Amino acid sequence: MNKTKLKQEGKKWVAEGIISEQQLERILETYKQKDPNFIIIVFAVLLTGLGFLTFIMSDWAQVAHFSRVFVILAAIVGLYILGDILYRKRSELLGVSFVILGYIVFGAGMLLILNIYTVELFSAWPFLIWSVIGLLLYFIYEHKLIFVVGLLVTTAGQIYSGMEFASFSWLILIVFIVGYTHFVYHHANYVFSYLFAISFSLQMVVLTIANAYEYYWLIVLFLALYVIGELLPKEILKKTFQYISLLSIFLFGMYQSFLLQESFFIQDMNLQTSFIIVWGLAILGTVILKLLTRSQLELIDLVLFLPICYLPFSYVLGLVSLFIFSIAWLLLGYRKEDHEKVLLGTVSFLLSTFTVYIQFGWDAMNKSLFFLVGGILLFSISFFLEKQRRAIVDSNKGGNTK
Amino acid sequence: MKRLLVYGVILLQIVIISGIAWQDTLIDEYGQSIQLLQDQQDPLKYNSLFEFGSMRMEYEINTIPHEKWDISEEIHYQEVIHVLLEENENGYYEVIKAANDKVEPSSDQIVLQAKYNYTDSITDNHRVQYGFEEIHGEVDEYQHLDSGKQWVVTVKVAPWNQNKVVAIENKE
Repeated sequence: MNKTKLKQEGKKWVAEGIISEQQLERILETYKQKDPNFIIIVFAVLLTGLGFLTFIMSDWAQVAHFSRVFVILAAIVGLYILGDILYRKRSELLGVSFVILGYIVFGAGMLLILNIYTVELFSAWPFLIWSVIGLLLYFIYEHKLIFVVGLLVTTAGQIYSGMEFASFSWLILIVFIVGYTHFVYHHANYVFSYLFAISFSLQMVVLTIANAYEYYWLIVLFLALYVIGELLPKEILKKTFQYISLLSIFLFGMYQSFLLQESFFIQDMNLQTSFIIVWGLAILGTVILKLLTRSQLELIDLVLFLPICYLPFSYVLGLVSLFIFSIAWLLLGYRKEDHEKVLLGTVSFLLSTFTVYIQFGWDAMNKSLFFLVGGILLFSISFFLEKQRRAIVDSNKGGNTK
Repeated sequence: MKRLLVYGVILLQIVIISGIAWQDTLIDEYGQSIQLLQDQQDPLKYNSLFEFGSMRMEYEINTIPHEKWDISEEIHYQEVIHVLLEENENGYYEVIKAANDKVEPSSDQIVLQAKYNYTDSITDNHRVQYGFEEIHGEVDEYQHLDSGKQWVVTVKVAPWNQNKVVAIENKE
């Protein structure tokens, strides 16, 4: 609750004799931590962290000498101890921000030491260590910011592994799944689960590219995130996982529609039967799951997960599937008066139109009719749905005039 | 309990960072010494001089001919491979074969990890990088080098796959 609002309400309670003046003051004191100071401290951490990173790039730091190691170790120990003392005695936030700073200095310092002692890396193990340390720190202090930074390090490590060694680090994925999932599940909140799902999607992209799988395997990997969301009992996790899964597969669909337009790409593509088997089982499982939970309408989400590239006229079908998905979400959103769904449906419709626009717009502008029809279609959908919505609202106008 | 963990985590980080620095001195002690020849196949090739505290060096073992390439599948840029080297009669190490998986070396052989770079489409030679191509040091450390001659580089290779350049000499 907002502090000023609480104060107003609290005065009423005092007047009514529900609580005393002292009790109100004590209640208000507990709300003190939500002040703008938070933003300032976040920026302070960012700037100091950047300061240290720039220092590490400097000439002085690039010489392999014991003094460099000593300076970094002193900085790490100093920051952690300061953070720990502040955390216990002064302010939780201030303490945690110093701990995070220590964490950043540790990682950056480790990379610097690896660099100046010309340690040759053949895998992303420094990031693995960095990520595990982040988990331990989160276990100790249980502060959101530490978790966020740790998750960023883990994701960066996986991307680094993909770019630098053209390999997917299974160890990082294990730390991510075993360690971070535990906290995402038990401390379920929007920030954690969105970041977790985004990180998962990015890692799956690295997995596909680094191992040179055929690109369509991403369909199954993104579907896995969707199904995991479906299976989890917590509503927050379900929603965020499925949103990110749908966002990923939607972007994938947009990208795919460009790929499938190129004849050389289609010729090179190797259509594996194993994929169809895995995909078929996965989709069958999802459909059964949806039917069991009596959410048949949500089956429309699966239209994005179709393996379009196996079909003739694939790229047109790909675009069609994007449009079907967007329009279905719009319709469902309007019907259920779910504004979030309407918003997402609208955005995805615009993105689909944008994709088509880029593909056709360059060579053939006489597709203007196509857009015109699309636009008019959207207008008419909006018109009819608005009418329907009003009808629903009117019929509900019994006691609740909203 | 958590108090102990705080100190434990800090200690762990100290150990990791100082460990990385310490292994550098351990390479001198436990490393196997090998001599490598600088790549001088192209007489017009610019011989990088040691000027600003670092230089780039190309070795003969950076180029692996196709008949010694024991990797059949497609390989990515920067993918890690294993290169088996053997000492020849002049005391320099030469490439015996390059493989995907670890190879067991015999007594006069050694295995280095390398990263794949590219394949020359004309000569069909494969280019790899070992990590000791970039050489750092004091500016006056390599004054004795003659850029007209081929150089012999002594590298120490530690059992934990780390290595460092310990000396560079002109070849007689």
